[in-house]
Amino acid sequence: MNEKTEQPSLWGDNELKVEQTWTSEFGNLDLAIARSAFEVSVEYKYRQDRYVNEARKEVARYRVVVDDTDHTLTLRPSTADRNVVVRPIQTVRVPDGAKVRLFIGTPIWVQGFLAGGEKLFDLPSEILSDTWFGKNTREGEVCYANQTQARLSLEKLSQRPERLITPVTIENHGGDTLVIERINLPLPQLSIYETGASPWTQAIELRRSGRHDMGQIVLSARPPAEYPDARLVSEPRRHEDEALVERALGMLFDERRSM
Amino acid sequence: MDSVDMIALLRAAVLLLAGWGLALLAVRNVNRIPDEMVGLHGKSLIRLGVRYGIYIIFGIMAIRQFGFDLTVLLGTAGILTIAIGFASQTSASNLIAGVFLLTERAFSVGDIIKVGETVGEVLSVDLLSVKLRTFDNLYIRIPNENLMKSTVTTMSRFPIRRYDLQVGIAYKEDLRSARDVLLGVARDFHLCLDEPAPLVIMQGFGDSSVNLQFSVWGLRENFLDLRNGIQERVKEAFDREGIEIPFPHRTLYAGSATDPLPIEIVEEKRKE
Repeated sequence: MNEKTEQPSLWGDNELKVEQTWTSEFGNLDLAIARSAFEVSVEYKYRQDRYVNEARKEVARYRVVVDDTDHTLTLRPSTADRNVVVRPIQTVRVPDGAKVRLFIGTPIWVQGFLAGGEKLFDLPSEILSDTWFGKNTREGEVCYANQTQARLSLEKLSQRPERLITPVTIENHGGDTLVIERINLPLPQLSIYETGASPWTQAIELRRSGRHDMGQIVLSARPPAEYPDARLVSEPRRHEDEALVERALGMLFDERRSM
Repeated sequence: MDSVDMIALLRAAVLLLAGWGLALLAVRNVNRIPDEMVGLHGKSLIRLGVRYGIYIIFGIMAIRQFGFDLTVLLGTAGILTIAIGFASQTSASNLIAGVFLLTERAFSVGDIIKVGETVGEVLSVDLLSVKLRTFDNLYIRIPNENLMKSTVTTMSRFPIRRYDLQVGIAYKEDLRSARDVLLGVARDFHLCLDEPAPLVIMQGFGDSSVNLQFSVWGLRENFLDLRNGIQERVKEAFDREGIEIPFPHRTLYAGSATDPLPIEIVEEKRKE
């Protein structure tokens, strides 16, 4: 029988001795990692998920063969592996000349590595629905869909370790009101910072200068302004070249699309 | 055998050898063409053309070394062509269809296509036929001519697909709440795309039910899971909400001119 241990610190290295089981919860995700002499067994399931009802609450299990000397489990937060299209629960209208900073929360992905660099798991803390973002059904990209409160003040923001916060600053000089129905967040291209509350990504800044122009997009290279001393904990999943970032962000907002 | 014949034979052998070497070299160069430029089939077509073109040219040159007059051969070639043409009508039409298929690029190796009732993965697109592997692992050869004449559906062309579920509900049910239940099923199934949004289309009043079409979008690779999952969930949701999916009903009616069918409750009478 494996000996159960207390939940260790969230991110970073954790000791994983032989015949020991490490368990943790990240949002809806229940994780249990058991170590025996030559293998690590990974077990996980999702609780209270809207996509997983009682009848389908299945536990996923697999085993990884490891070196006898490998006793460290490194946990790292990560962003979603695709862009996430977030829909504000209520549409946000940004009048001409206004500047707004929205805080958008998305579930975090948890990655586990062994000392040898072997990736044990890469799992979302919450299952997200698939969606399509494109001009039509032929051209576009597969994303995840999520809803957001799109909070404007930091005080009202609910910060939890399994929620990743992305600050999006929008400056509208387009000559008319900008209606935000959905935002395509290029999360795989963002770094993650540890703030002591929720993990945060670097900020996205957008300046709209013409009616049909999505304008200049800047991915901030520094920690978010709200947490200037935040520590970088995770590099982006994908390092895209400048042009690709611009293209992805050119589609940041939903223009009326014909399907 | 005299010396002239020996020299001719030597020349012919050298020419054949040179032709073989040149064909080998040419094919190697064709292989270097990037796949994305001409496609896998285009490349195999060029390879065939180049190899046999060189073989024919060098073969003719070798024959000429023995003093054969090829103009006589070419003279008879016209008659021969007609004879061969009649004999190989089908092959020729398949060959031409094959060339058109290759240039049209309606599908390529690895695509899932549907021809008539046959659905399968394309293994190769050759000059005379297309080879498919069906999902029950059968090897099917379809002549190119058939493909040219019939409708071919490429099922793996676009990244997302729509699944249309035909479902009937009883006449007594509230259509609006049935529609809400269906849309709720799509919302709570992560394989259903959020955008393009799911649709409920009224298909009309059927014999025994009000027919609805529930259309949901999903990723191509998840299509089977989506199809199974959505049916399971729709049944569960309808059972939970008490919405009846009726089976065909038949009501016997003898017409207004005649009396209704007499019904007698036998059990009740016996009790009295």
